[in-house]
Amino acid sequence: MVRVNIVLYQCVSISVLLLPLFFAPALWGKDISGNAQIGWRSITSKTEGDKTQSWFLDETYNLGLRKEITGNLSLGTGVGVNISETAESKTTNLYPNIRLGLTNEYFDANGGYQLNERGLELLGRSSDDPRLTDETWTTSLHSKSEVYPALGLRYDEVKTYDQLLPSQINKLSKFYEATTDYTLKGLELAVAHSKGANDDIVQDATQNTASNEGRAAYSQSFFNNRLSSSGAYRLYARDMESVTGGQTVDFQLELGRGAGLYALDTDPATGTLGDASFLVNNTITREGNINIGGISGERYHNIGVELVRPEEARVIHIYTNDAYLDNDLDPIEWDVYWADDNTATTRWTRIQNSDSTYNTHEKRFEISFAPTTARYFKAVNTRRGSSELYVTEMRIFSMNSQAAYTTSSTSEKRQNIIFSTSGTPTRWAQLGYSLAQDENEADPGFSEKRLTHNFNTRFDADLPKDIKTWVQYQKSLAYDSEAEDSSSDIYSVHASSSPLETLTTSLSVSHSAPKVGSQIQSKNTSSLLAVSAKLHDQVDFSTDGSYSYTDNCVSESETASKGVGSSLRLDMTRALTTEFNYNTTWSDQQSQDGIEISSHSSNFDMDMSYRPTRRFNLTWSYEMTFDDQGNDTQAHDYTAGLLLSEKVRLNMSYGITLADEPQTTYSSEVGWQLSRSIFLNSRYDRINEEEAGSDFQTDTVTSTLSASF
Amino acid sequence: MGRLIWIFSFLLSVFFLGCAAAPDLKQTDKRNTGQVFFYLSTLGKASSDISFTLIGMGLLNKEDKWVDVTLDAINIRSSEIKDQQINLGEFRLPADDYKKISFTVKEAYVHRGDARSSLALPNAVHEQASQGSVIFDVPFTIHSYESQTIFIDWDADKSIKENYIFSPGMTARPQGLELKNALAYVSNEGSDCVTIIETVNDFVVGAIAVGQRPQCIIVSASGDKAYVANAGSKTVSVIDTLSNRVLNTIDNLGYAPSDLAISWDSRFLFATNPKSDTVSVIDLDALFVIQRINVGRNPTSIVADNDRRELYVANSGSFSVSIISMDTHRVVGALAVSISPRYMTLCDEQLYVGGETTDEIEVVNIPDLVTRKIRAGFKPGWLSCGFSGRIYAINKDDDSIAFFHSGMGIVLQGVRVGRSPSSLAVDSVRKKLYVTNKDSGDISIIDLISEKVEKTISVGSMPYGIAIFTQ
Repeated sequence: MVRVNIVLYQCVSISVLLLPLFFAPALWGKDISGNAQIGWRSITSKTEGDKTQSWFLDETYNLGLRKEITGNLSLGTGVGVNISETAESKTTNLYPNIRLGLTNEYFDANGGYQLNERGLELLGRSSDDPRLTDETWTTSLHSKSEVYPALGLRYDEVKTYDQLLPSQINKLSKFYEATTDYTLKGLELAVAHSKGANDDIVQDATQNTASNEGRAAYSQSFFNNRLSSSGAYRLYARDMESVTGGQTVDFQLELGRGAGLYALDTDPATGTLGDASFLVNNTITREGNINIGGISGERYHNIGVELVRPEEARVIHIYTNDAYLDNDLDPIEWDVYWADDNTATTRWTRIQNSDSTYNTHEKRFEISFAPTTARYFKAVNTRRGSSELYVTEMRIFSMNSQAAYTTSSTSEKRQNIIFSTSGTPTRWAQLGYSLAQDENEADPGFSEKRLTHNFNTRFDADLPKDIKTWVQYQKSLAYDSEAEDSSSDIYSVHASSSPLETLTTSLSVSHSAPKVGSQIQSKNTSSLLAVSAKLHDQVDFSTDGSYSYTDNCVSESETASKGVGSSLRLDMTRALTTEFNYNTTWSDQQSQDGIEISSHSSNFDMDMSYRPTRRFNLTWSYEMTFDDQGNDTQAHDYTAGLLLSEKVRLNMSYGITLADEPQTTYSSEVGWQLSRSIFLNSRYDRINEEEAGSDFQTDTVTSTLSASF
Repeated sequence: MGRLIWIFSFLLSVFFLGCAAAPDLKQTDKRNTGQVFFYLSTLGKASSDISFTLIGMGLLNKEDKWVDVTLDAINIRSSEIKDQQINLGEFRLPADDYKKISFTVKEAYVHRGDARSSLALPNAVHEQASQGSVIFDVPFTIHSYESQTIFIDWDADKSIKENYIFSPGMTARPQGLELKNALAYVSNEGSDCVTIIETVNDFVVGAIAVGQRPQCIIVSASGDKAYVANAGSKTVSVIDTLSNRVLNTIDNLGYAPSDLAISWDSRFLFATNPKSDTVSVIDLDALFVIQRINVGRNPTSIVADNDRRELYVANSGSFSVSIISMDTHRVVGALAVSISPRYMTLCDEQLYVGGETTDEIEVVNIPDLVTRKIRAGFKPGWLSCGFSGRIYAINKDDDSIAFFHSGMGIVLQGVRVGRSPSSLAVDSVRKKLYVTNKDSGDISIIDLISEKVEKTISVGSMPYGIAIFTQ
């Protein structure tokens, strides 16, 4: 209660401070700015015999003052309100801020405060979110001297807390950084020191971090730029310390999700999951149709996620549209599976002894399981609930625990050395060498060192018939303390010619042979012929022809691929342009056991653009793709733009895709400048699609009213 | 609590003391003026070949007072500006309602082949004007702190009266609502504004005043908003591209933003702050900074990987690339690179990283984060994904754009552009590459089929960033 009063007091203080703004336009004119944006979206989805409707209302109001109090001192302050509402949830944000800036010929400094209040009742609208407050202080100072070392100081403090008793969230983070940079005759020197502390007051745990970084770099050219050299040395050291109080602390780290996946499948051990992006869109309102409770609820919903890259996971959170209050009496049970890929032949492995609880406050199932490293995870409900309940979002976490009254510390030290030099001893020869070393030491007992050398040489020659040519050789050597040494040799030849001002041609051939240890991994040869020409004043043409051959010495397979890509543009009149593009590729692969696989695919597209006046624009595009597997797709898209008056604009588009799952889209959009400051935009979208033999139709109406002064 | 009250009291005192202080004259001047660009073009294809020298301009305000606009003499010839716009200049003029524009012409000629005949100049049209003045109606308003663009269409075929008097047939209009499906936005670091270009015919169609020293600009996926990083005023301007007005200016917590990226779901904007070693996270519904993320030293470039929901941040001072999760807004990894990274582009799961001090490009294979180096043969600036396996890279050594083939690892072609090219944007529909040339104050447009510079457009001073929305 005390904290509620404090926050209210802060809000009132800031409001009192900002109140003069409302009366100040006459005095300060354009120092004051403000804006309002109200957006409304309604989505109606129809499938055979089923219709769902959802809506979304978003309101944002901002009022700000920017004033140069004197030539050197400036003040910026403002307050913003954001209210988002759907049929199922309401969220509110109030965010006042104030900042003072001071600048002169010696330094540039500023300091300010921003408050963000979530979950307040605003403009008569309450919030479904719990109250949460962020207080942010930021201050910085940067010197401006170009003669003396440039100095930078920064201090940030962020406090985040809720209003619950007892408190569930109460965190304070502080960060301090001091930097200095100095350039002396091409030599750059930089030093940085930073210190950070993150206090979790509820869990009674603290994380302290201190880091130091030093860098020296140079870049010089000699003999009229015929010899240039650059190099750098960097040393970075960081110490981290975690201290816990009287309770065990779980550090949860959310893992990066690449895609949401879903299938209704009674055999979770096999099968592919389809795309379900709504599961990973950070929105916990109902969007999909995964019902895990009630009469129409099903079992064996396979709800999955693809991680960005394989990582160790320990907890899955499954969010629901409503709080499920019957989980103790009528629990929904979950199994967790993992896999390395998501194909028709994938075998999903069940993780034994997973444990599920339901958090009614957060409206989510929290499923914990044994630490497992994989890229694909899924949770499958083996029991349904007593009432209708839809899954809205899936999150996945790794977790570390630290016992009570313990201190753990880690340190890291990293050194980088970079050096490169290149020279042109004659007009026709270039030589270059570069070195990179990365040494990394971390506690406990980790050490890694990588060193690479790159050498290259190139010889240029001008041949008769205006042909310019060069040959190049590159060699790289890599030494890694944790892996086998590797190297590669790359040979390149390039010839180009412009016999006419309107014609450019080039031919390039490259051969490479990467090695690991003494074993050649593969031999790769590729070539490219590129031609671009202006055939006529209004006709442009270009084409690329490529061929590549790879002999994989490890798998003893050979791959050859060819491709042709062409573009032709016709400027038929000043207002009418047509463009044609055609790309086709062939690939042949022969494996060790003599199996040959061939494939061929092509793509053709045509774009026509007609703009006779500033007020009207029409485009038509047609695209066709086909391959030898019979996967053919055709798509037409039409768009039109029309300025009905100097105040009203109309845009329309229509698209049709002919494929296994055909789709048609239509949209129209009207923009209306109601006054200099107010703009109204309305849009209607319709999508008709056929998927798995069923027809789906989605109608979306979006209106946005925006005003600014 | 005591500290809060103390700080608020202090700020309040400074606020009111500052308000009571004498107004800053420079600020007052700025408050009462607006920025105006004048562009002149010919109407279609003129059969007459006429040239004249423009030496002055005047604007008539609603109180019937003429405001002189001083400009350097500009030679204009109808046959040379076919399908081109001439930028007559950028001016700061009193905020007011205006009714008419007058041009003062010094000499005029009609050309027939190599021969030319001089034309008589019209008489003075008002008492302050000299001989050679022409006047035409164009009602427009200059608002303080805002930008305005006036477009003058010249019909050369209707510019000779009585066979010997030069009487240019001109009409003018101020900037207005535009068709939204083919627009490019260019931030002008020296003019504190954004120039809008219509990309079908490549004409300037307007300007929008933003904060000080605008650098990177980015357009949302829907094309409804453009965001501009104002490094000088330490803010981010939000442009409503439906109405082409600044909707809001976001305080960036005192950090000077440089590069921008938008999250996969268009809910967050990420801004690198090179001097403060942070990335700001801006909520795009509410339009304020919700978080700042500490990264390496001098974060310059930021690239969004929407497939992986990750951001890659080039820390040029730390020889590293930080990986940030778009969902959790946390650094989830860091990658050591062997160059001082300044520019990046992501093409087909390969992250191309360039630095200004070495002629090599580091390529990061994103699925396994394994790096390799390829030799570019020049010190690369801004990088952008192209067609047919090409990467377009600014070659700062000779002010050109290198067409670098990523598969072959070689430069296929080099195209010279204006002075000090700073950034690139690809119009994937019309296959054109837009290059901002900072020192020459213009945009070079390269046709990617013929691989030649097709057109040059004059914009504001020191153009820096460019973003294109194509539907």
